[in-house]
Amino acid sequence: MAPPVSEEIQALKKRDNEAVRRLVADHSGALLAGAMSMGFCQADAEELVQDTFVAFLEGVERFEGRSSVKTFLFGILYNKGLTLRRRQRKEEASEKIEEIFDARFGALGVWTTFPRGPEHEALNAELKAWLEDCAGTLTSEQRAALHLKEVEGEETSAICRILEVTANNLGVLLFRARNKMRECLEGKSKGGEA
Amino acid sequence: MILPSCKDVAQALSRGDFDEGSWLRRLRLRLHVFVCYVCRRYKAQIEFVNRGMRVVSEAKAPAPDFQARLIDKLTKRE
Repeated sequence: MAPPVSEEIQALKKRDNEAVRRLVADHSGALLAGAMSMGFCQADAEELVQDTFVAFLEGVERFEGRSSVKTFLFGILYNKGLTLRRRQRKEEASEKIEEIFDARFGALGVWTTFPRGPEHEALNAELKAWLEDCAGTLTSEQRAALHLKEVEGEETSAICRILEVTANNLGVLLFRARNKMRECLEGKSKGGEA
Repeated sequence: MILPSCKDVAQALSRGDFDEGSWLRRLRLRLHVFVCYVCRRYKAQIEFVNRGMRVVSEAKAPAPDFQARLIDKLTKRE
């Protein structure tokens, strides 16, 4: 059985090799998935995870146990990830997805352009490629939010801490992420039919 | 009782606060989805997107020696 968290942290503060090994074994998989979900290539994602552990070990003195080790690690990961992303490319300030969303409803908020029915949903090997393509249309922050919510199953409060956003901002991130994905997938299934 | 509009429902579903708030709010949202097949369709699509994100995240496995390299790097002392 793993030692209790406080002892584990003490061991990490002393840079105990066994504790470091357990830390990596417990969290590297989830962190790598998190980094990849932000759209980084394998090499960048691996480097990001490594930087995250290095920063964690450097800052472990300040870890007060208010959040879980996992939340703390993800916080570092996304912080570093977003910085790297910003360096790699400038993100667009405005988002067209809100206009697209609004255009689907009439004055009374009733659907004018209906979402397409399940009969249009492709169920073949193309689907995975579509999903990856469409995930690629999201910004890193949107992907991170959706990943933490749907893959890691994190609570809203934990995601807000990790991404350093308010609950309302998180709602906007998820709104944009899900609608962009949905519109993109719908566009692809429409295109495949022509 | 006036039900929320389709847009209200779609917003709640995509923001992820469909199951939050007062019981009255949740009831009204649910009732709308119950009677509106278009919103039911949208709800299914949002759930599909959520599952899709899991597929995307699971698609890649780490390199087999990834952990070993990490541990090596982190336990090395100057």
